[in-house]
Amino acid sequence: MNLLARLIHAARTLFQRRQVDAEMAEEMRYHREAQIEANLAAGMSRRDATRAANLQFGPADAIAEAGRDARGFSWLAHLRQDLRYGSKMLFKHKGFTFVAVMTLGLGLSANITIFSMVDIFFFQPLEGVKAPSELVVLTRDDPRNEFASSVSWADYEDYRDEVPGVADAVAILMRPVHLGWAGKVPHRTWVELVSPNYFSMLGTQPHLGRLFLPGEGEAIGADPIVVVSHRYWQDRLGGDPGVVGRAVQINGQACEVVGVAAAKFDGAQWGIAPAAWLPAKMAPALIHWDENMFTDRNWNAWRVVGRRAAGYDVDRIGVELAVVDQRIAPLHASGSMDDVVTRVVPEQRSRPEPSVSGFLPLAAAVFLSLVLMILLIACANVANLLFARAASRQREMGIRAAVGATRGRLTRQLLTESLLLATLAGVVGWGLSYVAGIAMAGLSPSGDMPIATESVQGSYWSIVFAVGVSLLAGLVTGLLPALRATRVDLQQVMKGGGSGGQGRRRHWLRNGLVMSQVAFCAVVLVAGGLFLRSLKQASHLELGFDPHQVALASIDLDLQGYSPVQGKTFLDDLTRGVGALPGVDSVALGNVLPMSNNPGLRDVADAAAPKLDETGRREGELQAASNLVDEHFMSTMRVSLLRGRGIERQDTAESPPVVVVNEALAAKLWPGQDAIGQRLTQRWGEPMEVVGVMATGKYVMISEDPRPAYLQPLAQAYNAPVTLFIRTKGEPAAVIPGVQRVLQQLDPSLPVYNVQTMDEHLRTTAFGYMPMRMAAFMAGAQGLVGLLLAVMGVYGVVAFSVSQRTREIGIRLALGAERGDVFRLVIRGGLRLILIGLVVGLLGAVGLSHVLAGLLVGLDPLDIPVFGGVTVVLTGVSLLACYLPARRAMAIDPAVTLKCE
Amino acid sequence: MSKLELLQGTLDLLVLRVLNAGPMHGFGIAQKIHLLSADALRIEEGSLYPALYRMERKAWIEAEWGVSENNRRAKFYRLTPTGRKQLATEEATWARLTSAVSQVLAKAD
Repeated sequence: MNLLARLIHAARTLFQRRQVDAEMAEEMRYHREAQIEANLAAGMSRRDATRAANLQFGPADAIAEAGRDARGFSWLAHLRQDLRYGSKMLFKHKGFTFVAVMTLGLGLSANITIFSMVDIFFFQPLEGVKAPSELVVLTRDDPRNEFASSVSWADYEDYRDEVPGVADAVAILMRPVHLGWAGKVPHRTWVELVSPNYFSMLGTQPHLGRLFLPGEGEAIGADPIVVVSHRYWQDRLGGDPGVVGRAVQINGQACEVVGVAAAKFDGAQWGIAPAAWLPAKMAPALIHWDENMFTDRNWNAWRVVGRRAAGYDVDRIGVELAVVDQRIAPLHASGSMDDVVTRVVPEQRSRPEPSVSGFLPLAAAVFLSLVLMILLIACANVANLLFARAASRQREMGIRAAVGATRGRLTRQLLTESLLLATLAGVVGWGLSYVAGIAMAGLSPSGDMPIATESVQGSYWSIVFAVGVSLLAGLVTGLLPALRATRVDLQQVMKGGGSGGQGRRRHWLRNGLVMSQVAFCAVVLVAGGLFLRSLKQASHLELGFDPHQVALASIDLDLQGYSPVQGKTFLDDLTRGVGALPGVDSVALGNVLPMSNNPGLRDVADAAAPKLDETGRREGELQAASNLVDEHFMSTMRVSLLRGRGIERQDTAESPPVVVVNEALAAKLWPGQDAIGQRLTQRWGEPMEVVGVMATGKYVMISEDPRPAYLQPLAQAYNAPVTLFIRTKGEPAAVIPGVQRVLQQLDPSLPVYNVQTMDEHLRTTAFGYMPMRMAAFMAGAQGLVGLLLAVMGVYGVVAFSVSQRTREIGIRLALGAERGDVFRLVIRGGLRLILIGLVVGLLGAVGLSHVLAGLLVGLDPLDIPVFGGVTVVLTGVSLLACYLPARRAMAIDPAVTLKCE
Repeated sequence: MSKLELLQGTLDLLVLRVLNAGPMHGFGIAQKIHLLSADALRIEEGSLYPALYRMERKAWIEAEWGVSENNRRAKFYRLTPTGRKQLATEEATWARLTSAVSQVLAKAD
């Protein structure tokens, strides 16, 4: 038979079953009648002829069944039958179906959510890019700089041209700019300055207009052109089809829009959504940087993304990079390339930042194993429910077996039912994970930089995953109970028993499931507790300033084209205006907003230390967080001064340069000496006299170790972007509209950003509490789901065992047992399982917490409050789950139960 | 005369051989085997029809509703080209089997 005929045959078996059966019956009827006629012709009486024919024919049903089997595709017909029967059963037992579907659905939703996130982080290719799997990120491990993943322009060109394994490479620099459209107030946004080959190397197409042409962007300041992103074009320009050819002011400089990029193209940096792309060589004109940014090998701020040449793997490229590094090392300041290792990482493994990409897979593995445990708990629960139900369905099974259903047939029927359950649960899980995805998106980092976050869910792979896991869960939960239930002892069932039989073994299995549930739950709860603890500890970390009741607003006068003199007047007016607002206690200015994406890290050294080379590097040089602040900063932010004086009004451009260092810096540069009176110098610049020592706080990341830091007077080193720190008497958010009004009055065209309270900033920035909050949220939610499932499991098993032991308990009571004894008997039974599970789980959790200690700061792997708390909570809640069935056991009336049996 | 048990697989061969002479319905096939075997072989419906459906699935035969000799609606089975090939193979196998068995019977002493 060819394929088509086969399909028709299958379809007929499935959909025209009745007709096929009717044809079969007609065929056999003809046969029988013909036989009767033949018998008559042979001289039998009609009665004998009919009898002989019927005798010969045998049971018509069996022939029909054998005939159906012989037709093939009977499994299809059976499946249809099973599905129909199964859904009828599920509908009939609504309570059971609801509990089982919700249980499994909860377990699945946690898995789908986490898998979707892992999928987005590690497996989704960059969109709108040709052959994204060939892209690699060049990154440098520099022991002196934790953020170093960047390369100088000259080095970039050498790697691009000299490494055969890199077919082509682009250089990218992300910068904030002020974009002004004709007739509109300029606004602040982030753009990427990119090498001329950017679009051609990535292989992307324009949505409108054109991208960079060959030869464009090669010479400094020559091509004032800009390609805007589709997202920006939609959001800011309303999808204006006439945008190509329009002029736009970038930091006050006119540029021409030549095109709109493809809809899904967000550039080559995962997770970041720049508004536009400009030729890198326009940077000196637009940002007023020195042209040596393209020649100085120490000017290393470029991110380099390359395309792997055919036949090269990452290791081979790494070897070639080392060769180039050896050649270019002498071109760098002596020693500066000594400990640097240039690596190449596949783009998908470089997310979200090459510097933290080693840590993410570990975090992902931890979360994946946690949710897997939740799924196992859920499966154990549903398996238990199915066991309980299988016991009550023994009679049904027995009857079906008696009328000829084989064991395989019955098993298939039960499996179909549990797969149906799992499918429903998969739908529920998918829905729940969609909700979780929305909740999670609310936790994604906010900040000045544009983030390309799509909804957490939705990739094709996560659907495949959801379907696969649901079916697997259905199989796992269904198989054992199905095999158990179909091992029917006909005689016993017919005798009316059905509750006895293999009792011991079944109890052992069910008890094992409860114990493993409690154990898994303990592990998941401990993990959740540890994450929450670390968040709590982090929120008690000494920040070195008081973040509460502080409002923020940032402006960049330099991008707006202010001269230093104009800027100073503007800032004076601004602080005076804001200070006069009702509710404002004091106002301060600072160049760096702590825990923002502007870390303000600088290389500094004792000015008395000998110079190592012509670049100004000195012995003992270290990297420190810097900030330029006005005289109100320390009092407004409540930075505690330990010795000496703070930044004061008399520290102006004309007075000698001064600096306030923190204790960590003082201890590193001048151990055992008084820092006051010492002189500190930056790599480039004048030595500054230390006039004060402040307490060490947090500057770049909330989780950082004590970091050297210093404050300089803003007046002595004017630097353009400033943040207003406004301490308020009441609710800080309340003064924000007033602040905006003042800014509006002073310069209506000045873009303002970071407008929020300090608490809000710390909560949402990626360098603040956001990652910990996200982890704590996920781990906490997982812990709750696990707990809920485990409690349901304990309750189910204890309640079932009480219902199974009704007779035994009735006899005990009849023989004079106290009701209290019965209560204790039930509770003790449950407690034993819980405690065994708990001990096993806690042992497992100790192992896990040692892994987590590598992820979470300031965490004791044997955190007593967490382990103790989990023990108390889990025991308490499980006891509660035993309590209800125990009460029911106590209420058993011996007279009634004994009569019933 | 007592009934002979058919060897496993022989039924297919017999059915194919009978249908080789022309299309025939189920009863006809059973009757013909009965007659040709001089009443020695009686095919039971319980094995005939499953065998027919199985062979139909394997595309050795195909079925069509027609009118029987006594003017009644009946399902007629007909050999397909595949079935013809199958018949040739099975006949050859059968010949080898019987000659082998006869040889053993003749010489084993």
